[in-house]
Amino acid sequence: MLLTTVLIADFEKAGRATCQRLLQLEKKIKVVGEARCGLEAMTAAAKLKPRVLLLDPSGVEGEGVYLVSTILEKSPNTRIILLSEHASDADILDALSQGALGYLAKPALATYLTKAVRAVAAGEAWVPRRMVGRLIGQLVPGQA
Amino acid sequence: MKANLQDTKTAPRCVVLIATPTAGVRSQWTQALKDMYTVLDVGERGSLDRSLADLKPDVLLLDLALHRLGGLEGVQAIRQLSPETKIVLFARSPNAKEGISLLKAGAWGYCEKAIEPLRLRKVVLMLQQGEVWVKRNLIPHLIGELARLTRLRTKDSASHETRLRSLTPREREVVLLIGEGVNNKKIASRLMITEHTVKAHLTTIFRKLGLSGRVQLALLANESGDGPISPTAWDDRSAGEPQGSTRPKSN
Repeated sequence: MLLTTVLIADFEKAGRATCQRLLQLEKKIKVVGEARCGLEAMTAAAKLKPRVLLLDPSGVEGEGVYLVSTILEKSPNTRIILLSEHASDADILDALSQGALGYLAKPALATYLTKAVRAVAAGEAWVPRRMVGRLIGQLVPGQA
Repeated sequence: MKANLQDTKTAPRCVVLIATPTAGVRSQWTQALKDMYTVLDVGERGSLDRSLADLKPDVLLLDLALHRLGGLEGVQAIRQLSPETKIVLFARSPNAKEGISLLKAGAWGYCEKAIEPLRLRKVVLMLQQGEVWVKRNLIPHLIGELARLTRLRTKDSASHETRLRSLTPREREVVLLIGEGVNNKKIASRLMITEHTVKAHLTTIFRKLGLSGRVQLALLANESGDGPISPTAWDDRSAGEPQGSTRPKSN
């Protein structure tokens, strides 16, 4: 089976280190790079075309969420998982509507990071179950 | 709620209506649910409509094989008969496209007909808790659909409108004339400028609007309708689609 390549984009050193440490143990996952800001995330994604991008948008200047669509333009096959300390349902919906496939709260990283990476790499989504209803609500005409 | 349809000792129970032409499935599903819910079943379309209107069940488990109307209109027809009923649709082999259109039409769930009884119990339970039920593999498609709609909305309104606003009054005059099919030479004489200047305006207009040619621009100019158009009227238009993109479904 092919390696799943991962790019970690987090402006905090501790955040990057946590992801590194958790993913290191996985034989089929390879961290191919790290980015410390939005611009770096963009250029690194364009160059490395990782299968999965872990993105904490909170360190990005302006509306970090909009980085998602820009990165997807440059690397359309990259699946993006948003990481954040705490995000509201509206924040998550925003990210998904930009094309992100997953969301993980940072406190849950240790438990779920590898599962989430594997899931999105395989084409699945990784969002809290309750988001599914919200998601459909957005699709129904007149409610969006 | 209809507490005394089958069972009077515990009130009030949630009413589940099972609708499938397959007798084996009817009895299997009934077995799976009857300890917790008041379960009724129908095997044909005619009795489905009657039961719905009479019973107004809380939940309808509907086999798409019975449901000849199919997709969108079918779900909407049922919702008219009994607006509060939460509908879960069952397909022999579910696919993302059908699922998304059914969910958009207002279904609360979509899954395979060969569902395990235990899982079926969970589906109904989730519905009662106000959640929808879809298979995991449908979720990325839902996200994709949301992203697609978002892109269309952005293209339609914000970016397009602001681009139009970015034109100068003179550039708008040029756009209007192009829309009338006037050639560069005549535009030049009407606006009392040189043909060279007209071309320069066009280059700027194409760039600002993100268009690649005169035909697209003419189409765009003509989309503003039959009413009188003045250069300033451009500010108010919002429905233009200069790049031939598909419009999101209207409400």
